[in-house]
Amino acid sequence: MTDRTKLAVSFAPFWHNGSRVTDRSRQIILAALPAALFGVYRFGFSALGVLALAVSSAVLWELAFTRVAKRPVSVGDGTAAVIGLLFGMMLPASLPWWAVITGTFLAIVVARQIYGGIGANPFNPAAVAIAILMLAWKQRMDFDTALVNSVFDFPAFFPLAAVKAFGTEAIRDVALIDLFLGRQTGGIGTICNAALLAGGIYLVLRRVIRWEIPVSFLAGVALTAAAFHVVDPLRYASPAFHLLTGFTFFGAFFLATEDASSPVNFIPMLIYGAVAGAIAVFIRNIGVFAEGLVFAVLVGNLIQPLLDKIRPQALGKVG
Amino acid sequence: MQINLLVRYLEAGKYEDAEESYDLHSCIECGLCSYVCVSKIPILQYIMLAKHELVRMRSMETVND
Repeated sequence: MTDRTKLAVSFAPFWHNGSRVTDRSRQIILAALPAALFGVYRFGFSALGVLALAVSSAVLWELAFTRVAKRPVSVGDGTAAVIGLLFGMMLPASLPWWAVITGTFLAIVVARQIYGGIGANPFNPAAVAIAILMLAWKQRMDFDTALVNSVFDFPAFFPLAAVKAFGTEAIRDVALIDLFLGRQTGGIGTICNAALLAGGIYLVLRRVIRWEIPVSFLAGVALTAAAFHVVDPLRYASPAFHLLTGFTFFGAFFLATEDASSPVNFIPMLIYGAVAGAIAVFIRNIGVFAEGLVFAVLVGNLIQPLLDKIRPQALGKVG
Repeated sequence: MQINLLVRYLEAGKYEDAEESYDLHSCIECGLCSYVCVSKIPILQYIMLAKHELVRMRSMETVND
C-alpha cells in the first residue's frame, strides 16, 4: 500500500524565507536607539519620559483600537512601537504628557488604523502626527520656546529658526562638526547626526530600507540648498548646514523610507526622495515653518501613487 | 510585473483590472513572491484564484451567448 499523503503535492512556495514584520521592526528600533539614547543623554530624564510615554501609549492605542474594531491584535509585530519611537524622537524633550498621548493617538488611530492598519497607510503616521501637533500647539513644538529652561554647554538656539530670523550671520560661529556630533538643540532623537547616519547605514545594509530613497533625499536637500545659497549667501544657509540641522538625516533614513508610503521601483524612489528633499528646503527657506520637513515627507507620500505608475512593461505585452 | 500593486487589486477582487493593467497573465506561478513576503500574504494563491475566476467568467459568458 502506498501512502496517499506522500504523493500529495502542494503549490509552489514550499517554504518561506522566514522574514517577518517583527524582525524589520526590531531592526528599525535597534537602528534608531543610539540617536534616541543620545537625546536622553543630552536632554536628561524628561526626554526619556517623553520617549517611554510615546512608545507605550502608541502600543496601547493600537491594542485599544484593534480590540474595539475587532481586528486581529497586531501589537506583537512591533510596528506600533516603531511609530511611537520615531514620533517621540521628533518631539522637544519638554512636551507635556497629554500632547504626547494625543500625538500617538493621531499617529496610530487617525493616520494608520482607520486606513486599514499595517501596510495600508497612505502617509507616514509619525510624520502626520508631528505635522498636526506643529499646527495645533505651535509654541510647545517650537524648539526655542520648549527648551528655554534647559542649560547647555553650546549655543542653545534652534539653528534653523536662527537662520530664518537673522540670516546666516547668526550661525557664523556654529561649527559643522558640532552639528554632526549632536551639539545642537532640536528633537530628542534628531540632533545626533552621527548616530542617525550609523543607524541608517545599518538599515540599508540589512536591506530593511533601500539606499535610493535616503541618498536621493539628501541629494535633493543639498542641491536645493546650494541653489538658494548661491543666489543669496546672506539669507540662505549652506547645503552642509541644511543637511546637518533639523530633521534632515532623521527624515531621510527613518521617515521617507516608511514601507507603505514610499514607492518601490528604482526611478520612482529617486524622484520621490529628491522631491521630498527639495520641498523640505523650500519650506525652510521661503515657507512659514523653520523646520517643515515632515510636511515635505507628507507631500512625497502624496505623489507616491502617481510615481508607482512608472514601472517596467511586461515582456511581449501588446497594447 | 508590479506585484505590490497587483496583489491590492486581487485582494479587492478586481480581476479584470489586474489582468488589463497589472500583467496578471505574465505570472508563471513560480511562487517567489510568496516565499519572500514579509507579511506572509498568500500572493500566489490570490493569483491562481484570479486566473481561475477569469476563466470561469469567460466560459459562463460563452454559454450565455
